[in-house]
Amino acid sequence: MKPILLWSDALILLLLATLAALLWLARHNEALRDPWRQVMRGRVGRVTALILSLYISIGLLDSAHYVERLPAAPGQPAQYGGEVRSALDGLLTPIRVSVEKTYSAPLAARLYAKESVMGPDGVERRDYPQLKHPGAHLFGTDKVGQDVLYLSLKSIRTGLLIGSLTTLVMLPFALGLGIAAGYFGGRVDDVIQYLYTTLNSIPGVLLIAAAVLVVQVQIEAHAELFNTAAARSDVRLLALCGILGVTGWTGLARLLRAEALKLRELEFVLAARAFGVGHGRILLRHLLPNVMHLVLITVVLDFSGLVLAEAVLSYVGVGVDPGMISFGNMINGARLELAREPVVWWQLAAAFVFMFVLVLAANLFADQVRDALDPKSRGRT
Amino acid sequence: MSVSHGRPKEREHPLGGTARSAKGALMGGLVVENLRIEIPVAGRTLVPVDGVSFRVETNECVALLGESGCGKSMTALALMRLLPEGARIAKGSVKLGTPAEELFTLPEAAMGKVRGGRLAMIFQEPQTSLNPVMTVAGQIAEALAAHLGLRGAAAQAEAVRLLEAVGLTRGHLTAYPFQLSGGQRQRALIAMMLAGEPEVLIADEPTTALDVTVQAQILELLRGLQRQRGMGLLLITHDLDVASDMADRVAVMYAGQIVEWASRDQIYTTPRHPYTQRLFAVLPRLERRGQRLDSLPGRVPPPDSVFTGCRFAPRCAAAFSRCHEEIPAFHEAAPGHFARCHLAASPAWQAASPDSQVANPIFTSRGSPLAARATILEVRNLAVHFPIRRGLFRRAVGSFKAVDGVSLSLHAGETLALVGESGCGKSTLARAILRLIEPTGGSVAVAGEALAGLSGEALRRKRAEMQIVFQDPYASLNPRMRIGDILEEGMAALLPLAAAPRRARVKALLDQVGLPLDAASRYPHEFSGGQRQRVAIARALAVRPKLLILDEPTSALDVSVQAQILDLLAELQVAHGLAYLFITHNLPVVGYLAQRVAVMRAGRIVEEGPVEQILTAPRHEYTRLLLDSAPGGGITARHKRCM
Repeated sequence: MKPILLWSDALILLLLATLAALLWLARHNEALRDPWRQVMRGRVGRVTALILSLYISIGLLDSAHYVERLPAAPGQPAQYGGEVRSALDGLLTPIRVSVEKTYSAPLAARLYAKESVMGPDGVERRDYPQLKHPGAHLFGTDKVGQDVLYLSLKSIRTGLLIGSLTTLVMLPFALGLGIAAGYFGGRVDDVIQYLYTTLNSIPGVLLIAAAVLVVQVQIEAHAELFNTAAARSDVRLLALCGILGVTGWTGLARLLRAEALKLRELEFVLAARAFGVGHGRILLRHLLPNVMHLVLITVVLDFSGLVLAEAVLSYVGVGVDPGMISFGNMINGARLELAREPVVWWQLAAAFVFMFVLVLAANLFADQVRDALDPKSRGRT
Repeated sequence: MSVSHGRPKEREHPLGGTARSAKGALMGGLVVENLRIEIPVAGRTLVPVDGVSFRVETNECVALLGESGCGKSMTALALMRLLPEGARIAKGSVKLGTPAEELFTLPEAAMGKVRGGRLAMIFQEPQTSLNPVMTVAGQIAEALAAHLGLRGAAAQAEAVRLLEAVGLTRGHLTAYPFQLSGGQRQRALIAMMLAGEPEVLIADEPTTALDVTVQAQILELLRGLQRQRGMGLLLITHDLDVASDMADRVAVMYAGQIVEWASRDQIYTTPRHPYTQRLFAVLPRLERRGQRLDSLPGRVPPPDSVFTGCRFAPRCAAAFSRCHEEIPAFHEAAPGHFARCHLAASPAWQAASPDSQVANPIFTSRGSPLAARATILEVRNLAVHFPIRRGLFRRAVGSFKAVDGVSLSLHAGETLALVGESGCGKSTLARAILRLIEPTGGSVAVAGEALAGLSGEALRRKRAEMQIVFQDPYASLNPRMRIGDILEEGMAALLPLAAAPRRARVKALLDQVGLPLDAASRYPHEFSGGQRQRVAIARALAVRPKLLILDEPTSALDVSVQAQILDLLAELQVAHGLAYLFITHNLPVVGYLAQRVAVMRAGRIVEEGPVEQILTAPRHEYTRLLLDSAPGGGITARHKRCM
């Protein structure tokens, strides 16, 4: 096999490397380690951290991409398959390949739709045919017979990527512009306010649709750069993250501007200025730590909003690539399944359960982190 | 009023004084007996108020006096049955009026009638106790409709009558709270509370947020209304001078209990509880210049403490073994004078205190005369004008002159007090001197070098010579930084020190301001207000300044803590030859600490001179007004008394 590095994989690696470097630098700093130790002491903190790390490891496994080598004639140059797989696909091979004909209910032994089957007596009748893998599909199968559990697990990477990359794109704008607007006031404030008011007054979906279409045109124009289907949908996903990030910072920025307006009048900021401490340092040491609780809460709430936004945008047709497995596409598909008779509910239910657990764990974990980082609530149980 | 002397001296008779008339019949008013408030928190029970009994007769003013955290506001809220969630009344009774009606057993609907009707309360913060989106008329009409059933023209007429009674006019009826000044808001609130014709009015620190001249007016108004309407007035205050001006009787609270209860004259002439005595001993006065203020060591015990003896024993200079073993009864030590102290009847311990003051002179000789010393600060015609902008293009249509041509000079080792009411520009002046705000005109020179035109490195170097300590110890320390980091911040910015000597200096500074060395690794919220103010002082001292601007450094602190901070400031001045620009509105502190006083009003200095002259023979009428408004009969009167 041959490893493949998609753009998003590269970004994930970069993110991991940065995190590892930060951990390495902070490994002896008691002041930094202490709050995290406190998070891990509580039951809620431990359980949610475990759930999150499960999700993250699934996402990471799903980010190790490769193409398989095809059996080739000896002496010929190696041939590779056109389908990009991930380590997760490798691990999930049993449920990945156990494809049925069409819908089957969770843990069912028979298909969900009647077909003409040949009975043992040789008479043909309409009946629910036997599944190829009876009882093997925990969440049932979808329209084309793919295992829904497999789809859900594959969706995790998309959800995490949209949530985290968009946040990473958004945070510098929100933090930098929001705090700067509140702290400096005057002309700086005017310009920043003008910027986000303008951005807010453009309908978000319209802007996103336009940007995604532009990206699509660019992809077509440079087809040689994106030679696999996986690469194309990957770039589209990144573009979506970027555009969601660039338009999504206004809410948090406004919140931070108001908080910074309040904080800059506080006397500890004045005291720092009386020491001749520079503006950058004041922003970094006095304002930023005092707005972190807002940032944390907003980011976690936004995270669930982003996963949902992906579903909404897929519905409009400007979301992730329709071929990409994501919660959004699952929910989008469920629209028709709910309208059909009898109702197919398990695809929606699976997407719901996986997203619900992720968002709830993230929220609870963020609460614990916020409490641990706040010196006032430290030591309280 | 007479007292039955034969009454057994025990806790069950805590009312004392004029509690019962000679015939034993109740006289109406408000009777509180054995009030106990509990707050269950995580398996423990906090008891912020424990066994409080007192009585407010109709037609008298009772002051409930105590430092912050002693339970006086909790008591007031319990009387109104407005305790915050989680707190509950565990025991006790409150009876109001004749025939006495028990308030704690009333159903909530009936209590709603009493609240704001027969028993009314005004709060400390006039900003937040009025609804900002309702007019004054609307809010008074609400009270009138609820308690007197008045509506329409009758309500309007009554509202005008009430406004006039509190010194406002008909024109204020249609005003919204934001259109009124702090004093006017407090008057409007009083008018609202009078609408229900209360038998007893509870005033919880009604003037703490107000300027001294406004405070005098409001106190006078309250006193006048109380006499005129024959109400009872329960005045909750931390200010000994306010209590002495207002009260007929005084209850002193400490750690959730009343420790002393007597007439005003008895308390102020012969305090019988050591805590009360200490409170007087820590008050700064002009006549106590150069003496160390008596200190009240330690802190008020937290509300979850378990007491085996007297609650004040750990801080009491006169404590002996019995104090730690036996809870002192609240008994009548002298006719009408109740105290919770084993020694209340004998004066043995009372002599100790004055000696200790004389034994601790803090700065007896001052070395060379001030005039011969170096001038640290020279301010010439300093002006700060804020432009008033209007219209689409925000053109400046005028300017607000916050500081308007101020000149000052200050020598090494000298303290210049800058006195004025809020909004007079004194804090703006301080910030302009430090160039935290760019002055519009005039010049500032620190240690002979003009600040104007300095920038970059030169300005930073200059900043090390001048530092500031702020008023609010809760806002002046970054809650997310450890004390050590807070102290190092200035050094890192201004002093060329490596990390190790910086940490050594942090230790030295903590020691200097009397904080434990392990404070460096802790966060500000773990410290009390006084300790935080010590940190703020240490932070300013860290860069070895020559000039320290103290912007109301003690006005957010309790008197006992204020005394500790003033002592510390005096010590540091002697040790380092610091020049202090002491900004305050508190005249007794000025008399105690400053050598010269400048009185500021509307951006200008109206009078300046040596402290003795300003405080005893002021020339400007505004200075006279300030002095006359100061509670406790004013500095002038007190000074004359002691001469």
